[in-house]
Amino acid sequence: MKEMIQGIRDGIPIALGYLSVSFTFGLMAVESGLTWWQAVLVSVANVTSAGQFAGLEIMSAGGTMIEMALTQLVINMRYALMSLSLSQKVDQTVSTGHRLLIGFEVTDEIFAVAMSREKKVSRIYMYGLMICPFLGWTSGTALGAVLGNVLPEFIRASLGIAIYGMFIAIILPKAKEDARYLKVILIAIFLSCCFAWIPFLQAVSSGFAVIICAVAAAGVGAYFFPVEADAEG
Amino acid sequence: MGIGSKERMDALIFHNVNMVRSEMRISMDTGIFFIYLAVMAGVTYLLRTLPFVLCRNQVENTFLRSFLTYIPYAVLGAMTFPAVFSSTDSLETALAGTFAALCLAFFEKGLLTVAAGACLVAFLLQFIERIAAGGVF
Repeated sequence: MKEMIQGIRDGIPIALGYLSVSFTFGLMAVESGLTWWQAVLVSVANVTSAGQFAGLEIMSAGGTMIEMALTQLVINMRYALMSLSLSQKVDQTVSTGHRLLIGFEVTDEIFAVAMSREKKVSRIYMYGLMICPFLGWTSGTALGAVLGNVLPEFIRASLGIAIYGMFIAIILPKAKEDARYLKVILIAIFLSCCFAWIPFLQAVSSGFAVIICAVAAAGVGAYFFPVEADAEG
Repeated sequence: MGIGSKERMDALIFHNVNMVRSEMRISMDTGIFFIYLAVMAGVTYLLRTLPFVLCRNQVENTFLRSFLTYIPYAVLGAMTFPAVFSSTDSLETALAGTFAALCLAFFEKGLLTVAAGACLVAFLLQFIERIAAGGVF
């Protein structure tokens, strides 16, 4: 029970961050020609930001199913890496059946929070962690779809930074405490800036760019600063 | 043009195109919608679940284990910068919000505090800018 409550508590800031992003998604989905329940259904079935926005674009442009599958594959490939990482973090209570359920909601934020726990995580903690973000993501979509145009733009604009604030809250304390993490994070940021600012690299989709940056930075880190088994954070 | 202006222009164009579409009231065929949804959700679900289900044992290889330990932080770093600079209406508000987040995170405040602090600072600066420009709306 304690783990469940801890999980729920850890999930609340994620849920709040999701509200603003999914609100925008709901709004754009309706503007693209989806009904409000279709928008909500997309959020319920996917629970992913970048993938849904890209999917919406393909739907409204009448793209092919192959295009849809490939786009999702590239943008969401990072989840495969995260799931692999997470498989090392969960304890023995997480059997195959539970993996099939928990795997459904491996998002960047849920993954990051689970990984930042000191010890291994149980399935009870994972379910607790998943509840609020799921509700936040789906209800935010519904709200955005139904009353998106009511909220003034200047309020919505400042909500967009919430999710990044959360990311900073996860990576900065780790970087401060351990120089190896700091180096890995700085390499990732440097590469990410290259993809954002160097003209010919800008052609790479943002989902794919994140994979390249993260794999390269973590690879360099693993090669030059290996982590011992029991010292793992 | 500021940082991230390309993404913003894309978003703006996308937004406007879709405004026009919705005005023309082109609604998607429900059957096609469900096929799109199934493809989208199916690919995403398999990506998330397959490695999770298939990898049951602890990774013994030091390189791979280190790699998997660093991955979350590398992913978040790459996702946050430089995207955070174009996450609000203007570069100034984004920079102010980022600075607030960095300060709060440095003193190890909770996730919610850092996120809310960044929003609040960005919002206040934006509010001041609007007033200085002659009107909030």
